Amino acid sequence: MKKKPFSDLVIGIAFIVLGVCVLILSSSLNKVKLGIGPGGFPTFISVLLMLLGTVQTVSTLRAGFKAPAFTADRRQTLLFLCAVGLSVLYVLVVPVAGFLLATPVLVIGMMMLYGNRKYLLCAVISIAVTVAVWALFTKVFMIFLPAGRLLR
Amino acid sequence: MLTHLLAGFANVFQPLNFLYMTFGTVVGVVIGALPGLSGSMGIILLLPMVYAMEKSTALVMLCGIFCGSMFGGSVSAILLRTPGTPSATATLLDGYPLAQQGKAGKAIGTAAVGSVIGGLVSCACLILIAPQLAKVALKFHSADYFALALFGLSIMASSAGKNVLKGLMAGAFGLLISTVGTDPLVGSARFTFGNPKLMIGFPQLAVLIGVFALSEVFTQVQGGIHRVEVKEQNVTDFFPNSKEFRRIVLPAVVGAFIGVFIGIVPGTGGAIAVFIAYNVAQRMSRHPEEFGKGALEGIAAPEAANNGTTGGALVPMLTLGIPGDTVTSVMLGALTLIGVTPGPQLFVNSPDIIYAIFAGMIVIQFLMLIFGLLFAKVAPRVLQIPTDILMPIILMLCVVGAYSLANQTYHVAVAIAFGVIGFFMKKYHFPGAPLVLGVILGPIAEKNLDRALQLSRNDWTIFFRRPIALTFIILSVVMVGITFYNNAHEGKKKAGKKA
Repeated sequence: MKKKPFSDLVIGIAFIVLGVCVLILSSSLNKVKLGIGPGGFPTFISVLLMLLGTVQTVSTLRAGFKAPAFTADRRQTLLFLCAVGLSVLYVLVVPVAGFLLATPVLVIGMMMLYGNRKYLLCAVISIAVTVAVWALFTKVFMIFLPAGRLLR
Repeated sequence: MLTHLLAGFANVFQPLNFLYMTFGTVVGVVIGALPGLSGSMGIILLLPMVYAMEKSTALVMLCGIFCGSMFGGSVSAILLRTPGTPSATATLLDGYPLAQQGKAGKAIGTAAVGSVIGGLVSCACLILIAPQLAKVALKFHSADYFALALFGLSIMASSAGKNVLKGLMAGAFGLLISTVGTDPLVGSARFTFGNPKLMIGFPQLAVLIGVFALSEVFTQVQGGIHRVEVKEQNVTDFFPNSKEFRRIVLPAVVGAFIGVFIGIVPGTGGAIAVFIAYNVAQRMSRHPEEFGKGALEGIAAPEAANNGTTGGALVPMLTLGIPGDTVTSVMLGALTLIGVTPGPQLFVNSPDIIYAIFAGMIVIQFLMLIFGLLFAKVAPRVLQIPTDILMPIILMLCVVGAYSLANQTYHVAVAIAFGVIGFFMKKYHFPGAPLVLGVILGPIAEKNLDRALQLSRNDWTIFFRRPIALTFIILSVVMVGITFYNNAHEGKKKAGKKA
């Protein structure tokens, strides 16, 4: 039998733990006399999560698993974390800075993370696309993108 | 029906509707051709536009993206040997060899003709089947709807491809996500942990944007700049001559019916249909030895099947509110944005919308032919857009799309969170489609289960006493059983080969 990755075991156990947590939380939800009530469906899901987690764990243990490898490409991990971090930062900043100021920074940042080193081109494209999208949405589709407190 | 259909044509030929339908088709063809992007992402990127539109305008535009993307995938399969969408994989088997022989135009033309045949057959089936199925669905009891949702959920297993268990786990996780927020039964807070923002739960469309679009942006950032190298191709001489047309028409029609049938089964989709159609076309052919070396039937049949699934996938979505595939699940979410609730009542209350879709689907096939072939001329240049420009723009459009759902940054945050979850799902080989099915079908299953039990005063035998519900339950058990059996059988086969 082909050995399974270590991650399969971790995910299997995580599903069992998640199932137990959902079961405990579901038990505190309101009970009703007729029907399933708010806790009924989550209880069913919790059982499903535990069952699937158990099958995943047992099948991984039976097949054997490869030793956990911590050899992930550091550069790739860093690029992923920076991309997520930049996106999260954008969500936090956009209510203050507004769409027109925050978006070009997000787009330039992402272009650089993707490896583009033509900074002037990045700046021109990001500003042009941001302004075009802003104009299209606010003027044509009447969807108001965040104006931000700075520009008010 | 004919009167309604004629009114539908009058509707789609209104200048604005026609313009957006053409726009949607063009966007679909381009998005479908770009490797890594799909029809579902096309719909996601254009989501913010649908608010400002009339319902029928938005719907025909979405249908344009759906059908256009199905054909677009074949352009890159033929020119680059990289299918733009998974369902164009079979097209490259004969399309690319033909392009290598200097007949890229002929290959794309054959794919376009096959797509149109498939699309038209699927439209005919959609028009004939959907209203009848809707009539039956009008008689559905809540127990039947629960059993139907259960059937949809059982599809999670089959839509998971090679790893059934991981598909089921993704689906169960999707169900869990759907329970967060105000519960639909008595309105109490569920799993919100005192956070008022979580009262609205995880909005379905924000989840879809994250899982299908942002996860791709986060995945591709690890690959850095990726510029597709396209060789200079002679993209002319599109149309098959009469002899070639006679050769492809029958395999294309057969492929189209295969596509329609597979498209109707929720959770399946084009990727399965194209290979069945390809195999059938090879068996039907008088020259099976030409397959894999540039046989025209080998392009026309899978393309017809591919586009055949479009009308088929719309049948369960429009009549029952159950998505037929990934694109229709995104489309289902988009419909809720414009206040359209798919289901049998839609056929009773808004036949104008339904028949605008039917007429639009027919017109789109011809638009796809015209703009698909025009695009093929410029495709070698368009396909060279580097990822370092394309992906950041997609990220921006996703952010705008998520924000416009409710003018809240909360939706953007949810989309990003599910983008990260989608990234890890891809990394550890968990399919995204079952998660989406879980998110969509969870509330339907919960509400109808509760209602059925209330009406029957907690009598669980209600699900076995009603013939429709019992049929769906049996089908669900059979579906899961077959999928597990096939998986185990394939595993044994592989083990046998190794031994």
